[in-house]
Amino acid sequence: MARTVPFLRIETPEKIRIRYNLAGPGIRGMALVVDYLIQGTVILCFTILWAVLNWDSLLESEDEAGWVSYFFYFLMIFFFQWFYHTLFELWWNGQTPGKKMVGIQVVSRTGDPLETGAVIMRNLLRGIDSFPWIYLVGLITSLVDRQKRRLGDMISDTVVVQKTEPSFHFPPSLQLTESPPAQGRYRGVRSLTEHELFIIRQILAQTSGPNKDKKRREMIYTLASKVSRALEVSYSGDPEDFLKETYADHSTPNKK
Amino acid sequence: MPTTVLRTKSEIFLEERRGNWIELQRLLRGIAPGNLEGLRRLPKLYRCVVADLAQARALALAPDVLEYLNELASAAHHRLYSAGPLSSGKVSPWFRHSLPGVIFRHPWAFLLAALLFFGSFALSLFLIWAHPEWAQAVVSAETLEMFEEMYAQAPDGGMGLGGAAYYIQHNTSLAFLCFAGGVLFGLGSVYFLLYNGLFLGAVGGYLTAQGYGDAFWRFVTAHSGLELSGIVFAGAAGLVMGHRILEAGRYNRRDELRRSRDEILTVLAPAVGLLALAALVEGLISPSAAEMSLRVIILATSLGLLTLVFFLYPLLKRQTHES
Repeated sequence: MARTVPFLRIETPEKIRIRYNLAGPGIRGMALVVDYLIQGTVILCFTILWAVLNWDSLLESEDEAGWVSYFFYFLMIFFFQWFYHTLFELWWNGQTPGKKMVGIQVVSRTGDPLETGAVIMRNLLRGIDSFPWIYLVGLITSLVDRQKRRLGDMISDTVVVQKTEPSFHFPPSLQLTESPPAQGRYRGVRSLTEHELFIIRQILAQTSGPNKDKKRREMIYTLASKVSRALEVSYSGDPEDFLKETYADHSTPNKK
Repeated sequence: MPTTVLRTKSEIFLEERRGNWIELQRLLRGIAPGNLEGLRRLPKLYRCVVADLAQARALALAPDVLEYLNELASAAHHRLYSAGPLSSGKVSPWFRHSLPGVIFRHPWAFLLAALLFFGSFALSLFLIWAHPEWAQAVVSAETLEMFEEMYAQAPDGGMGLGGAAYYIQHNTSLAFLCFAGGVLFGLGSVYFLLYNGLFLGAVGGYLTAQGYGDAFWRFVTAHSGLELSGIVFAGAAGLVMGHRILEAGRYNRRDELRRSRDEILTVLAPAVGLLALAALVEGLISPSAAEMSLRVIILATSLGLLTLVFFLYPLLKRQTHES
């Protein structure tokens, strides 16, 4: 069975590949719920407004006033059913209020700008995807499809991906309170990759608390043995010193 | 005691470039209206970030840097390459050239849709008129009761908006389902066209048999031309879609759909307009106390315009082209 990768890769005109996380049925369902809540709130507000305005005629006879509101109710429900998603996705570049709140977005599968026809088409097909009443058809297709698309997505060549606000904690660099360690004592068969240095830094940077002390020492010991195996060097003495020395070998020291 | 700070390649890379990244992130959050300089910087910064991402990947830098740059690049890409609004330059020729000829480009779809719909409509109308007890096979008992009540209340056709509202919502949704069903290789469209026809015919036959014929036909005359043709257009669009999915020709199904999407939407577009107009007429004119003559005029006008736009105009254009 082919390994399913939950990414969408697009190539931009600048010839760089950008990766998106695909949004599955769970999170899309949440966005739908939010959208339904919004629609329900609007209808509720309308009801309250209408009831307040028509208070007297409500008390007398409900015939005339009733029909008018019926008309607007159905019109509203119809609008929400067929046009709400389309208009928002066109206006907000692939997002409805529900999608925005949850952090997902509709994008074209190839990374091109989202076409109007595509948005219209994918939302017109909600009629089938939402069958019967709880998006069962859409749910099944998005579970089966490798890119988690429902029928509307397949027809209009769109995909729903997660849109996250890029955030970065510029982590503190590793600081040594002693003088720089001896360099070059351990000559390994290869140098450590940046990823491995990243891991070493993460683990060394963990402060030891009363409960964590033993755990921290265990982790450092395990890490040191892994590093020594990778570099094919053996060390003697404190594993933490060994790690610090190899780290120092791969980085530029900078006196403060 | 002197402290030594150890910086790996990733961190040095980060420190050198982060100015650009932070600036790009700030711009992405929003550019003030008068900020021309910001507008100019945005694409430039995007290209810097893209280059940084490529370099970071080549150098195999730490995953947190790579992921951050990926997210930053994708956010900027999305902002820069978002689709513009529909330009009027594209709409006008579409209106004048693509739209009217739509029936002639897909004659079989329209023929089939019309046959399925009007055939089932006529069948169920006459059948249930003769045997009103069979109406429950197609329409639920409560719905029949509701219709009866509606027409009983207003024998001269002046019924309230409520019934009209139900009708509008139900029929238009059903028409859209006639279209959406086309995705199931056209079979969904066939089903919904048949169901729609049977339903409407059954309601008409039943009510006429129960003696509300005058009120019913009075009510539906005005908007029927618009609504029924809207249903046929929607069904035809669904059939075209189903056909394109089945017969992908030289392209794989996905690309074929991409290419035919505009055409499918062109077939659907008149349906939306017709159904919207039908809803308007159905809400304003049909339930009012308007005279029968007015309703017939509206019906005739709507059918006449349809014939003009979708049959005569394209025929004339074709003739002038050939001559």
